[in-house]
Amino acid sequence: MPLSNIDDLFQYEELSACRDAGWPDCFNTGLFVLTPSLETYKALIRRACDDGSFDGGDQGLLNAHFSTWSHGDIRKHIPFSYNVNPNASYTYLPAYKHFADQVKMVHFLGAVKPWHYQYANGRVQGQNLTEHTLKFLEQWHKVADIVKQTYYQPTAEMKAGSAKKEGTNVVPTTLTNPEILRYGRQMIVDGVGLPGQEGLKKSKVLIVGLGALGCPSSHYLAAAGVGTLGLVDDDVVDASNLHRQILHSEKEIGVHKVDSAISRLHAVNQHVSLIPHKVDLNASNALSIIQQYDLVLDCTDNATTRYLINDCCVLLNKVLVSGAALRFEGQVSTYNYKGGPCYRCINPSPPDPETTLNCFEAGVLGPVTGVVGSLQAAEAIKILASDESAYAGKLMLVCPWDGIMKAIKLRPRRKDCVVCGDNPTVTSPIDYVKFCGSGKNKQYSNASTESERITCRQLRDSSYKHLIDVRPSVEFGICALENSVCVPFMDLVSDKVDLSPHIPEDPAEPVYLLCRAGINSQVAVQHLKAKYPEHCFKDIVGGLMGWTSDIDPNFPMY
Amino acid sequence: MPVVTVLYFARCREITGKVQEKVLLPETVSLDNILTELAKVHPALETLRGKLTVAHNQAYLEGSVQLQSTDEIALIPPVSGG
Repeated sequence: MPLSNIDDLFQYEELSACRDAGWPDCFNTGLFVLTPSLETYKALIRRACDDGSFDGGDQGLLNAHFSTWSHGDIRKHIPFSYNVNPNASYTYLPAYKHFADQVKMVHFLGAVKPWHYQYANGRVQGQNLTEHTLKFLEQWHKVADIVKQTYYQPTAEMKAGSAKKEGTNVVPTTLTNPEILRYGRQMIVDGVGLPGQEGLKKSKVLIVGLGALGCPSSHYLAAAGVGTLGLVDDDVVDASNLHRQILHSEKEIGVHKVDSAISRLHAVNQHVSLIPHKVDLNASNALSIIQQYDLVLDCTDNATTRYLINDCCVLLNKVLVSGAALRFEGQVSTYNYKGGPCYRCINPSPPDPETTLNCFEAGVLGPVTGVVGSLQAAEAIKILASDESAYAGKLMLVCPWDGIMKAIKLRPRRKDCVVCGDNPTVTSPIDYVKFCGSGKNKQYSNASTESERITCRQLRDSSYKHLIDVRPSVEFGICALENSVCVPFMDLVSDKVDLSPHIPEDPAEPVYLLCRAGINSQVAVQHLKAKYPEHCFKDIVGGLMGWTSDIDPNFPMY
Repeated sequence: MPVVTVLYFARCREITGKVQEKVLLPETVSLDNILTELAKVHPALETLRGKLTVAHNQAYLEGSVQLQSTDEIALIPPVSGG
């Protein structure tokens, strides 16, 4: 609190400050003179990431950075009267009394703040306060009253609320009384409070993908009172989504996922502004969409879009809370947060498309995606409400099936990262399909020639003797064609099983290979041909999905 | 030589068919040779070279590290699904 004009501080050079009363070789960061500079800002961020702060706060960091202050230019030592703490019990009390009238700035340092004291009729109520402290506290409240009367315009709702409780102090806030009542249970949690809830209300969060991760995360963020949610998807609800995509219900099968999500989220919290983006996020539209938001949740299901989102977040300096899940395990991390690593720092090379499976191919448990989406929402709330992150620089591994939850400490930012490094080569979105070697939907080339394939119809009309189903045994257990045998693809191509019982003595007898969608069966044919060049192997075009659509609509598909 | 616990995640789990196992490893390992060592037991792990995170005692492995029998190594390929 300034007690007189302090424009003379402009004469000081960077970095000028007062001694800290507790350790006079350090300066106190309650007041200091600094030239605004992006360079200093970046250097401080780098130092915070690399070395941290010796006292865990701003003062330790700044003293380490401007380390010559104590023994350097004495003209950068601002008189102590510019940063006096009335709560401190000074060991040199006569000086405090003698110079009290010359105090220019009061620093209400420590846990007890002026607003913790009752103030009425020009007097502060408090015990064990010195005369000077009392004087400063009363002066603070006088100014606070003027500020409130001059600048604070209560909303109509708040006027109505405060009329009922006349005589009580109302803290200026952007929240209405019904909002405080509604969010009270999370506002009383340490780290949220009134400022945290106001932070959520003014925040804009983009959720890319309204599938298994986007459903729970957007639900929690809408319920928590995030002001604006942007919703990106370009797909419609399918019955096979419902076991995990919990915003959508049976009556929305065939409805656009963005429409389905908006109707559900609006029902959860009508005060949240919901912005639809019914598009496939790509290199030409991603920047213009992402730049409208403060924070991005990656809830997508493919590597191609993950690299696109990461690069755009780095280019636009947005925080990215990334979630992924497959089968019975999930991963969560926060990228590009306050100088920390980005997705590319951890995964510089994209995975091989052949080894990357999606939920259609590999399956996923609903509750696993629920855990991952919930962790993403919790992280977003923490960042927006308290400006702190739980998962920056960490990779959270969750495997509810095996009871494993682990946080792995990640490496720092890569100085040679192509997008967030010191000399980036990716300065605008690139061709991610080319980079990953696979589109959002995989493009499979046919491994088999026409003579090596037969259609489902041809299979039905043949009297086949040897039919090998290469799906995993758990899928074979759900449904299978008559007289087929199960040799899982992974076992077949790694030669883990003895294939000889399935290879006919007469090489002229054809062996048919079958899978779910007609991809793995082609690879299996090539593998077997190399192993048994005299024999005849054929794959079935379209696999069992083709069987359901062309031959037997009653054959179950999953 | 120390016998350490190796945890397999995602694709590594499919390849090895295991959630975790005890493996005899050299006293000093690096990002490169740990995969070479483990690929002796599970050859298909070789296909993930350069495309996965290796953690030693819950921290990202860079350079080389001395192993003890109480240590834990985790192989973590990225997961893309959602």
